[in-house]
Amino acid sequence: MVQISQFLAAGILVTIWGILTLALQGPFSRHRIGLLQILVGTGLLTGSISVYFTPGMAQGEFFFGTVVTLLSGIILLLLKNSPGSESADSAGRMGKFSAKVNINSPQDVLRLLNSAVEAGEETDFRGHLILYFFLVVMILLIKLT
Amino acid sequence: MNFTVFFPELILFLTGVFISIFSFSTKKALLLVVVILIFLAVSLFGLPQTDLFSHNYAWDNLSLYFSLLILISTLAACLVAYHTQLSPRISFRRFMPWIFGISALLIFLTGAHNLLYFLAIWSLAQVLFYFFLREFDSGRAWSYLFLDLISTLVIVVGTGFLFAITGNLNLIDIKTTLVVEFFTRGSPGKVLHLGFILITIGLISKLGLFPFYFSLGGLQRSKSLLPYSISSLLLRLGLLAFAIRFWQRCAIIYTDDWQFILSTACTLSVLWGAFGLLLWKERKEWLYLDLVQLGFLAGPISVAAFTPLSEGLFFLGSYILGFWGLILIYAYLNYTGFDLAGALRHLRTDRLLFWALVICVGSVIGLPATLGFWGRYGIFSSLREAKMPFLAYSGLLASLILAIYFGYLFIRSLLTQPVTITRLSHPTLRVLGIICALALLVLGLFPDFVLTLALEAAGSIPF
Repeated sequence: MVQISQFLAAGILVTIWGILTLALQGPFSRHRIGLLQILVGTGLLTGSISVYFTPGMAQGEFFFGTVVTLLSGIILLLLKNSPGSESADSAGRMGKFSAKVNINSPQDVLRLLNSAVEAGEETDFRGHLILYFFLVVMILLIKLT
Repeated sequence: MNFTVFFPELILFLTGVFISIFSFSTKKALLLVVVILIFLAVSLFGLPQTDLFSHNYAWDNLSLYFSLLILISTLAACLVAYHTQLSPRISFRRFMPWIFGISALLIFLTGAHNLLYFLAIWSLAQVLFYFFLREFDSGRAWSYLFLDLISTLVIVVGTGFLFAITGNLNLIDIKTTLVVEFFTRGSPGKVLHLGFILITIGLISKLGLFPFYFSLGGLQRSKSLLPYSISSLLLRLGLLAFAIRFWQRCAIIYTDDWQFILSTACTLSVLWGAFGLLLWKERKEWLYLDLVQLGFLAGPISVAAFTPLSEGLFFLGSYILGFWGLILIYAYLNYTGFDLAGALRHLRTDRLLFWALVICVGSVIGLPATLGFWGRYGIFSSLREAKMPFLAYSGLLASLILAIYFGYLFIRSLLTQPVTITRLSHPTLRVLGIICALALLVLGLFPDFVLTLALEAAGSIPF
């Protein structure tokens, strides 16, 4: 069986790896990977410590809260620091199309749907991320309420 | 303890390093690769079934079946890489340690029974894939890695829940502990359900089922056939083997938590893929066709019973072989993406390859007398018997749409003037494409070999 110390060791290793990545000279993308590694490592460390205090009990909420907070931190950080990309264009195109479309016939609905699907599929990771979390929340709402 | 089961992984890893260190000519390297992969594929049958590391790793018939498919995909990827221009920054010899490393990791993953093993091995494989993808498009590589990390974190949260409740990360131990806990302490509450749901969401998003298929959209726009085919036909195999073990060996006692999510995702995948092919096919034919195939594959797994699982595994064989056949033919035509209409038009002057292409597509859509037909037929009948008619009829509708769509392309190609092919790749790819089509035909007429392997693989899961 994998013991708590293995989680702890993994957390420490990932954090150190992240620090080393940050410490080494490199492009900006490496800087973001370093931050991500540190946050994931911290998540593992926090998780292992919190699980240590609640072994075999249905009290995973603390772990859940901590990791979700960290996850939100990572997402915010990446959303803020991500480089500009084609997503802005596709979102702009989508916005322009939505502004001028008049839904008078089924063809218009189809065109709108077409644009929405294209914008959704061709956006970059920021758009995908928002879509991802929206879907996860929807599934959790359906299954847990 | 019998560690001979790790020989394939070790040999793959060492071969990759060996080729990258020693200055072979690319022809000799390819010859070595083909010999080693065939030797490994044959030797897999001689490995004894074994349980290692306190049941955290097992080599059984499921591992054997998936490992065989992984080796076939690795061989096909090597052949495509050898005969096509990968990228100005990556040579065939640089490609070798990378693809062999990833295959070794995936073969190990097929036997993993521990959530932590999965997280570690899968993360390594994904980082390796990121480095490969970066050679083609750094932006898309980053986006792909980022989304994969997010789904990994979702799985980590679910794993944390299960660990907090059971104190275990081994799939079998988690199930045993949950059963004991249920009778001693009662129901564990919603946290357990949340854990299973989160892991299921993480797994289906990594697999690329609807609605989480969007991360794959960027890959199919790469300037090579390889990134998408490796992601779809190689990486997914190791992941699927673990997902089957997780759902059928660990989460099977709480089927309500994941069965609904998985079967809904499969139904929507086949329908969305089929309608997407009709409505938004431009530059996305491959993405939608792959989505339909994946929905077909994961549908029987969601039933959580022996017969549907064996039918799903049988279908997997036809899926992998049919898609690789198409990719080899496209590589021969020097295509960088999936363009069936163009391929049919270009191959009118090469009748043998034209019919090979038709057989490969026929197998993918379930044309009678091909391996794909038996795969689909088995899935429909097992889903109907399992009282999941909605999933079966959705699959039937999607198959009908695919047949109409490809039938239309086929007839149109016969009515238009043939286009002369100006730039072709190496003839070996042509021969390989024809061999794939023949294999689909022969295995469709005599499916016993694949069926036996699939039945034995499904038999590894104690229902």
